Amino acid sequence: MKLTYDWWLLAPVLIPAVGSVLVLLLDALAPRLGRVHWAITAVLLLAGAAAVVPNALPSADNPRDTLCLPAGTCLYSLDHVGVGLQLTALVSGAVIALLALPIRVPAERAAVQATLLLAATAGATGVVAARDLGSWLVMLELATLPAVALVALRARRSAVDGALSRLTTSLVSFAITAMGAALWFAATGSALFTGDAVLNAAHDTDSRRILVLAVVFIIAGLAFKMSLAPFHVWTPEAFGGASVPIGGFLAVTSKAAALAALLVIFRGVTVLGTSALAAIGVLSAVSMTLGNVMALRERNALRFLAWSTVSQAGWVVLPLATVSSRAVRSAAAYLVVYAVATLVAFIVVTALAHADGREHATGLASYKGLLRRRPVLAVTLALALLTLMGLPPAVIGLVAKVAAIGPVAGGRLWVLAVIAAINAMLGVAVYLRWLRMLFGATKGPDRADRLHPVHHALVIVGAAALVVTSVAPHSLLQIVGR
Amino acid sequence: MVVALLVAPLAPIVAGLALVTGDRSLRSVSRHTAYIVSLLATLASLAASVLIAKDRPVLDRQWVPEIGMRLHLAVDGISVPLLLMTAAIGVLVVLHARHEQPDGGTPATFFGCLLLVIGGGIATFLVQDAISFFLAFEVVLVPMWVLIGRFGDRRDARERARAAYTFVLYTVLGSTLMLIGILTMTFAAGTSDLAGIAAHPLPAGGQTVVALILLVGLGIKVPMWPLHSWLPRAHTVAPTAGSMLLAAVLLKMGTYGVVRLVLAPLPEGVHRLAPYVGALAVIGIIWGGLVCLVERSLKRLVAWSSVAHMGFVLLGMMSGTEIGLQAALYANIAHGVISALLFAVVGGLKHRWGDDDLDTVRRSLRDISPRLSLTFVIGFAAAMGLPGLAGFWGEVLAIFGAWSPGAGLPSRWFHVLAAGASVGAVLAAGYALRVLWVVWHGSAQGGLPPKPEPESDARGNEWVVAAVLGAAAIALGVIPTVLLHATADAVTHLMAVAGR
Amino acid sequence: MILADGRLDTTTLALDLPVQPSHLVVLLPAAVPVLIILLTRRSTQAFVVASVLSFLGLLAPIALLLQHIRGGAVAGPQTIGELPVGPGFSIPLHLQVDRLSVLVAVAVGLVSWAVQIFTRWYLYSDPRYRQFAAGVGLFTAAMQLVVLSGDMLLTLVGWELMGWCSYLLIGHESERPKARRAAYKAFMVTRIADTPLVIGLAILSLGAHSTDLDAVVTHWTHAAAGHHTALTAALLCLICAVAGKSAQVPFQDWLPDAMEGPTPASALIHAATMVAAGTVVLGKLITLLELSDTARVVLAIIASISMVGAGVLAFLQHDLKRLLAWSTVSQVALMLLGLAVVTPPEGADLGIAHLLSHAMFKALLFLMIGWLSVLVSGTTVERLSGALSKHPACRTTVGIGLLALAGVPPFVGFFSKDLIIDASARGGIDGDPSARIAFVALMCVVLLTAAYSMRMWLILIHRTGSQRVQVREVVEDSYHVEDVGIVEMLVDLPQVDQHGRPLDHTGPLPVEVEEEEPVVDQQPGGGARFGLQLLSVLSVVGGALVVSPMLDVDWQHPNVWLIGASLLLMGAVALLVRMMSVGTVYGDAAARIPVFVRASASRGFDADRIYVAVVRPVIALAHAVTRVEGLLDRGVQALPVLSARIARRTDRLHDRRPTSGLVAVSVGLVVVGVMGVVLW
Repeated sequence: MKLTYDWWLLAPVLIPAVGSVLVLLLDALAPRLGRVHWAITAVLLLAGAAAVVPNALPSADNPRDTLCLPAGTCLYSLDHVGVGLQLTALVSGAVIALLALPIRVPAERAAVQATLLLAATAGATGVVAARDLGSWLVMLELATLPAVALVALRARRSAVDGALSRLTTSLVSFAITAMGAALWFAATGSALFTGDAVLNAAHDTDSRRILVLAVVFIIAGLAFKMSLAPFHVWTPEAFGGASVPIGGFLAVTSKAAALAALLVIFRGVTVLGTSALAAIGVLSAVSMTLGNVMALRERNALRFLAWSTVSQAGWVVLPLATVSSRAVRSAAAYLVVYAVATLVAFIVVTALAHADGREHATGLASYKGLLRRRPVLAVTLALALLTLMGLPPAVIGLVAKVAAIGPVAGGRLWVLAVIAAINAMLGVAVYLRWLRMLFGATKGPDRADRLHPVHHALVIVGAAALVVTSVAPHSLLQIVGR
Repeated sequence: MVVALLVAPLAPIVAGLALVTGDRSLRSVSRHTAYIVSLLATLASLAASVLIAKDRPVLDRQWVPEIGMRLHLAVDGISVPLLLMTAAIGVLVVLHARHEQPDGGTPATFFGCLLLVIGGGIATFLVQDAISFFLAFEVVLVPMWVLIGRFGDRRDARERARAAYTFVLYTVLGSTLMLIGILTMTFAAGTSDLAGIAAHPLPAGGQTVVALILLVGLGIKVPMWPLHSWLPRAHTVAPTAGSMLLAAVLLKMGTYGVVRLVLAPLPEGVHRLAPYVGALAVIGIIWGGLVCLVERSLKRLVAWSSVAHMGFVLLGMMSGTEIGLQAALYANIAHGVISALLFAVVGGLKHRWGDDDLDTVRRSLRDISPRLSLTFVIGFAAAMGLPGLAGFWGEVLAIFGAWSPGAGLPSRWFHVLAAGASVGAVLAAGYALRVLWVVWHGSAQGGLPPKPEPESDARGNEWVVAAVLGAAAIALGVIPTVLLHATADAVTHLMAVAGR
Repeated sequence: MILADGRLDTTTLALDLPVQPSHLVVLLPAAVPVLIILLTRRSTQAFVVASVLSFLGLLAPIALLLQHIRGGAVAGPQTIGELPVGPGFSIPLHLQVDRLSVLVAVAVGLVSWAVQIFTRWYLYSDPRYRQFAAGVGLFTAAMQLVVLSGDMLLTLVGWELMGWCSYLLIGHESERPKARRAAYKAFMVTRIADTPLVIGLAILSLGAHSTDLDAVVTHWTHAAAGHHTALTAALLCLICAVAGKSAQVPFQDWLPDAMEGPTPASALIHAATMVAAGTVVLGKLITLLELSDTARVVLAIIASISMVGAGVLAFLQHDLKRLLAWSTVSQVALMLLGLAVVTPPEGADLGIAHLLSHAMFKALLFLMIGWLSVLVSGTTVERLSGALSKHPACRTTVGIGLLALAGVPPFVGFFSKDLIIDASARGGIDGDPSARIAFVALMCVVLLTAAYSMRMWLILIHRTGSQRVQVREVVEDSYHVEDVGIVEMLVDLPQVDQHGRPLDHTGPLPVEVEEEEPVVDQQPGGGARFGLQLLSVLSVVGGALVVSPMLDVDWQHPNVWLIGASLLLMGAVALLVRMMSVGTVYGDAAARIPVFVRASASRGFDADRIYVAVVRPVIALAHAVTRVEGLLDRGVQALPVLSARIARRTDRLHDRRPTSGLVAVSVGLVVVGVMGVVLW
């Protein structure tokens, strides 16, 4: 059995994977390096991202395959959407690493965290392109399981709680996903997510029934990883417990991984028609509503962001309630925008937490009058929130909203569309709560330390990114292709 | 000339963003600087709008291909009057804001938000692309929220926040529903260009649902009874300049959206819904009139009269006749001028009185401040649809249009609606005279009228704003032909397209 | 200059200019308010503007008249161009110059000029003179617009504007709550009566696909057979509006209250403009009116009731100004009857003829009563009793006015009224129902008119009156909003003998107050007096108009017996009134009538209470609506609270225990599974 190899194509996955091993080695050789590990991580991830870029060029043939069997079926296939998701995962991972850089942790722990981050990112990058059951499953779990450890490593009571609840649910979900995968194999008799295999299975009624169960199980398992309601329970605990950058990682990188995994299945299932995806519609509606309603009365900034990811996850999968290549692109596009906005929000929170102390960044009330205390932070955060609201002047967020609703409206799913509209309203109410805090009389520590230069740079970059993408949304959206 | 298309909306928007973000984060901006900047920006956009109205340039560029959003700016007979009115009102609003700047935030924030709203309005009337129409529609939300929530009536903070939230949430819901309708049509037509959408209509069955969704969404903005309850709140709390913009610009965006997105591309759907929407419109007319008969707060009363007037606009649009549509467009502009005038004057009175309760006994306005009282009388006379003033033609022609509805519409039902509308006109006279009785005639007792007190009268910018608006109200009433001719061709074309 | 250009054709007086005399007729009065508001700051300047423009505004219709006689007048001059409202419908908005409208325009111009001049003297010290003059100008313009309009919408414009102007003028002295209420009442009553007007116009003009009067008339004369009900409905709508403006039953009660306005305003409203507008509009549509018997009968009934009732009320009024007001109602009803009794092919000449004569003598009477009221500072019987005997200067003019009002030959009132009586008699013989109704009512009203004219005259020339201090104090014009009958107050007063000495000789002896009143400068300026004399002359010789070719009326065959009989009866009634007045304190014949009758008559038989009773449910409805609105709003505002409650509920599920998470997962799994299996 001989496979074709395209190293360039595999590089985005290999670089972080190998990098994680290197970091461990480095730590073994020269312990107590501390934050250097983070720097290395960031560099490696950015290198991975750089390796993706050539595939992102419009000229690049689409999809690009490798690890092809002689039969012609390929185990690793990357289209524009996949490229976009890989970029998102890698860049967000890098940003997380940079965010974590200034935070003081026991030196021996830094290496482990860095390794885990690298591994998880490698998994996220890999699952995008995985086209066979085995690697898909492995990559998916590689992307999500390290997060448990990352959460736990903060070693506070709350962190352990969060990690525990995530661990339990993730085990269950892993079981569910594995079950689904097994059923899939049983139904289709092939270990590949290819449309024709699904069609063969669909003809025969028994295998069809099994296939349905398989899809349903897999969706449920992924719903957990995307923290779609009602599989979201771990989210607020984990976010509230974990250190702030790790929260960002959970919010962005692992969500990207989960969406990628879902899309892999989705591509296969589309041939069956929409009914298989009604479940996705329901999940999206439920988690949008629940996330917004809960966020409406949340006072802790981190948990607030957790609830916001729950509702945003609903928006991400909203287009997948209809079957079309457009739906795939829309979901990816929304995820990309969401990733940018959420990362910026986390950057601001991290920077503030680092400068003023965590207790001054976790309570929403502590953002009162931020516009007077730290105008730059406030403006950036406001931009991020506006993007999540999808209101101008953050045009990019509005564009994402349009992209997400587009397929639903085009498919005439009126109920779902109206629910989405109502949630758009709720979302505005949610984020305005925070936005409103930024104005008004200042309340918070009198002593305001200077931001750490890395954080400061990241804040500036984030703000700039939001502004630029708002002026020219095309520049961001094109990475998921047309 | 293409540059004018960009200057008109962008000058206020850019200046506004600069003022809002630049303040504090870079250096704090003085009130005078903010005023000068805003005045220049609005004047620039007014000049640009005039140029656009003169030689109709077109700009059509790719913008966000991923969602099929183009940067397509142009005007036609229907949008030109709205464009000019918005730009002109913008200048007046800035002038007035200089005269009366509420506290609650820095001047730069206040002027910046005003500019953003103005720019958003202008953009709305310029874009020819459905999705960017939605974008322009949304631009005004956050700044208006800030205007109401931070710069609103200082007396009651909770009521302020509540009004601001009610406004923004209602409107977001409405515009998102509108977005759903837009996307459905875009998906079906394969293009998001307004003309393209109108050219490739949906099948009749689908049209009704889409028209319903769109009418609900836009009806919130218009506002259409019973989706109006955000309006009185917002107006009562909002600062004077905010109220002027709210009434003169934001409401117009709703009716303009109905013309562009519902009447033109969805004739069958409108045809099916017209009797019901017309009924809602008439209910709104009478409802608003009745509330005004007993309303105590003057500003809230004016807001309610807006509900009634927009009812006439909707009725004219739903009549499905050219005369009705002409009347609707006319009443649209007329209401913009009248309500801006009323809010300017009433806001000034509230500023002087400290509150706007009609039950408090006051000296007659005609004796105290002649200028204010003149504009006040003009405003309310126009609001009651007195001939020779802006309100008359729109209302009468709307009733005419409703009396002979378009082909296929239930004419008896529309006769009832027309009768109801004319009853509503009488109610308008009732409340307008009530206000004049209380405020203008006042409650002086016997004797010769006292000497006027010029110090309490309108002066400077306030007087300029009120005088210009009053003059505009009279001009519209005396020479309706200009405006009607401006819209006539576009209306004929639209009816031809919709009548296919 | 114009002559040099040859723009003016000297034979036909045709003027080849964009601006025609017909335009000027409307524009010159309209310019009064504009110029006054823009240019003037002081009353004197305002007076200059007003007098000059109103004089030109009198010349313009005269020029138009000459043009018309010579045949050089433009029939349908354009105004602001046609309104573009689509191919199916035309709104030309043009004027229409014809025989009758020109005549009326002249009368309006004359009256308004006289009023403008007189006002300056009447409101000399009034700081709001400018506003008043401006209002008069606008009022005249609106009326001229109605008179000359050839387009339904243009008529509507003038029609509504007049209502607004009446509001401004009646509410002129807005310090007095009575004036405020009267103004509000006048506008609202007429506006409510106008509710059907727009619908009526819509029916007529939409049927004809045009608002052009001629087009409408021609279309409906042909279509009448087919759509008779529609035509009748439209006409009834119009008649309702007319009844409102002309203060006919059931809308009559606003007019006497309108006496709260300064007397010149009353003169304008009663003589030339507002109340007469109904006659003008119906006169333009007389052809259609003749087509629908229902409409004519309704009109005849309304007019007859108003005419007789108003006559009775006029006789019972204690305030002579209100007496004149009621007489106006009755006279306007007479005009409307003049329209209701005619049958094709006759035109509206009868009604218009009476409109013209009424304009003359009623303007005269109102201005004179204004003059007298200034002299004796009041308009009640106590004040005015004997006014003429003290101020003989006014004697002739007032006498002429009253004789013309009573319709005594050869005064103008006689001709116009007699022609209508003749027409109704003829119609009645032919068996026209509306004519029969009219005839009966007319017979009554001839006598009533004679009676109240005589009564007023007797009061004015009474020799011993107006000397009692107590009365002076009591009857100071009441500031109460409800018009409490002055009569009740009087009966409580100490009785006095014929010479005004208290019967019981307690209390202060009457003082001769006349001496204290400055008699100098108690008469209007020369211009105003000239205007009054002109009016009185016209009231005398105006009758000649009916024999002129300008009016197309059948005056050759008067019904001599009828005239003789009516004159005889009038004489008898006058004698009766005289006898009744003998021995009363103020020479007031009505003093013989029981007090409660007079009291309720002075309140117009309490029609006002009915109006209030009609309005009350509307206000109640408004309150109800507001309450519902409050509920709706509260419902909306309850949503956030609701969501918060839901959130609290769900938050309980999110306790920190991992098991709850597992529960949720399993629940979700079941849900999704079931969905998948079901929907597949």
